[in-house]
Amino acid sequence: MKNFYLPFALAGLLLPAAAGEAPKTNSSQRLGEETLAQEPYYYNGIVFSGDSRGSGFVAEHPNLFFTAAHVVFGESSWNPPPTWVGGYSDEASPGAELEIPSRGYFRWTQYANIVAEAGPNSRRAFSRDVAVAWGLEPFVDGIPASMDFKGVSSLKRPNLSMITGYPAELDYTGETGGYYLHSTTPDITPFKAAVGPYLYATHISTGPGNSGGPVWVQDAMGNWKAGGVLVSGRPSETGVYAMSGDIKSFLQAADPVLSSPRRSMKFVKGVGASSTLLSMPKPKKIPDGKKSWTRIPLSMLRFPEESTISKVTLQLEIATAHRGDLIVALLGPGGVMSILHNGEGAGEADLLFEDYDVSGPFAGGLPNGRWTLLVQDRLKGDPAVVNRFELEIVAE
Amino acid sequence: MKPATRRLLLLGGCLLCGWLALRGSRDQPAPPAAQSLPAADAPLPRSHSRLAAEWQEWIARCEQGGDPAEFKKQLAALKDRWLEEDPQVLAGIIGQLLRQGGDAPTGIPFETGPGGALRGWPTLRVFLLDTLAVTDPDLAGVIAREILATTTSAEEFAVALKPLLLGGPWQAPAGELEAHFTRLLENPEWQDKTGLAEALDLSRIAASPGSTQVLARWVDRSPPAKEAGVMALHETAANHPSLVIGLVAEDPQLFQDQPELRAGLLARAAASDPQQTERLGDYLKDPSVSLAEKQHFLGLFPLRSASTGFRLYGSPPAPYDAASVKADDKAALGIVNQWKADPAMSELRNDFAGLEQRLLAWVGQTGD
Repeated sequence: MKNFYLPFALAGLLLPAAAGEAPKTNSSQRLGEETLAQEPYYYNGIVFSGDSRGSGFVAEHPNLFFTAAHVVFGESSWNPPPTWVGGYSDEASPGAELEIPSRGYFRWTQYANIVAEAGPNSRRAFSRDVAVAWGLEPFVDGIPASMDFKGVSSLKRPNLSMITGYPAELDYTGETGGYYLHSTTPDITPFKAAVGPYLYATHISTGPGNSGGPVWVQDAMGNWKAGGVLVSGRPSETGVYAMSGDIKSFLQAADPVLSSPRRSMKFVKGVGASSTLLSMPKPKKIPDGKKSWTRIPLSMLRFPEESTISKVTLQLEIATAHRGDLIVALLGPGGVMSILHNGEGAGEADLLFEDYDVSGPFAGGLPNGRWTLLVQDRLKGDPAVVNRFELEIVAE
Repeated sequence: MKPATRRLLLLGGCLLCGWLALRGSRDQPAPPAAQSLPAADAPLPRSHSRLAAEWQEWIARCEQGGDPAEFKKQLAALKDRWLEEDPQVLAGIIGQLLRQGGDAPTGIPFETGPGGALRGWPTLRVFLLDTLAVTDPDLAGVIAREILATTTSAEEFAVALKPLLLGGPWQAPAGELEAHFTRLLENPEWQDKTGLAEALDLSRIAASPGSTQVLARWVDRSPPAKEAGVMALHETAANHPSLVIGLVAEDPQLFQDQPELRAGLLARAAASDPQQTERLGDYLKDPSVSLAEKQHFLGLFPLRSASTGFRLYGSPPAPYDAASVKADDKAALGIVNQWKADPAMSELRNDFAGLEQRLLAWVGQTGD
């Protein structure tokens, strides 16, 4: 397994041991075959990429599995799409006939991070070490695992968590892990912040080969959700990429390659999302031939503080003889702006958006604050009136 | 009112008039000044002095130093508050503050968030430019061009480009964007700057042969931020394969010393496009291309993995969709059969077999 170590000392970050007693390391233990069909172990799999192997888990859609980016992406070049073997537990390698090929994968990364980081094993590199592979057929039957989009805060809090997967070597002892599914003991592990979504914890370790394995967090209802991805480790220490609202944007980027919608799966699963409808109180005339924004603001303050946007749906009706005169944009909290209509349809009347999904640039952002419709009628001669402006915001 | 304050307000009024006049001149003759421009001594909006005072407080606060995480939260709140002002007025005030030149570092790393809005502003002027980008787009374009012509900061330069990439009537012409991009990439002081790295997204958004070529030539020279440049080229190729395939195919010298990069970019070709596949055939028959490079290409083609993330000038890249991937895989299968039958490519027979096996598996998975 590649990169499964932190080359620099983290001594300054280590948690102090409890007074008078050295804490025991929570290491991976082999699970019995009966667990393979149980949640959340059912979602685990072995990921093969070129000569490397790692772990992964199916979440959010049966055709998507998450893993660590360093498992599937070479240091500077693209590897061929990885393959997946789920529901397996044996000493011997599963063999090619059990491998399900993926069609591709997405890496979640930013330009600034690439320039600022110091090598592939730096903490900053681990803070973007997540990938999602997508397939043309499902990697598991039925409903996939749910994500904890607040994994960063859930893992820092005293919640029950565990790390599962397929370590090739157990706890850095040299003992082989074969191709058996393993898990740490469910425990309250205090993860600490390192860089961004990269968290670490001491006194817990799994072993080389387990990069990409899921870090499960139990919610208040006793359900296990994927709160992070194992990305680094060494004896008695583990680093994870923890989930946050950013992952919603990541999943949105992957949505077009899925043949069936991801969101319907989620609602079947009953993940706790809430939605709020905002609407303008009365029609608004747009000044004719004026090259400046007319603003129609709506205020949203109803979601809990840590909520992030999952979906934004627009209903808009603007009466005009020439919709080509209009430019329409939506400005959300934090100054996120999306141009919805850019003077298209020159000679046609009325601009209508019905149940129009405008989530793209807003997904993963903050729902609370001011949402403003911006409209310009840049050419003179045809008055325009906004008769309806409604937003339905879904956030978790 | 103190004379100095009055002079400042008068100067502000003049500057605002200037911008309004410039704004009018972009796409239509400027209207008669007496009709539409405020007089030089016209009172400025009351919000002006409030925002200017708030700004001076921020400069003092950052100069004193403090917790960047706390600054980050407070600047985000400030941006939301400022964006409740009239967009034209706010753009005018921001332009004035930028011209005055006041600035201070915040200690916050440069970071792009959802929708291209910044989450981290390394300096207060970068904060101003980020806010400017979502005010009045006509005025923002005029002010942004002033900054692009004068700034010495890569981060300011990168953010100042945003109003020029809004699309619609505000989208700068391809030639102008190419000139800005060249200036950014040719600046020796900016080669390892995060601002330069984030601005590489211009290539994907501008989607012009000129800007793509500027990026490709820069990456070909292996600059310090080459890894980011390679990512930008791949993202451009994923969204606009014909642009990059054409560029690489027409210049055999390009990426001659970076064979894996060249092979990877060509592997993004759309197999359903006969022009692109013809170029791939020429490449595979080209004796000046090494066998190892051709094998690398065949190990990746058709490459549909991609990088994505928050980008300065647009939404996270989502270049592929299920229908076109499936159609391209089927088309690729047909092309491989043609390549297999071509005696000029016989040295690649084993590699074709591997590719064919992969494509058959993918096409089989679709159940079509």
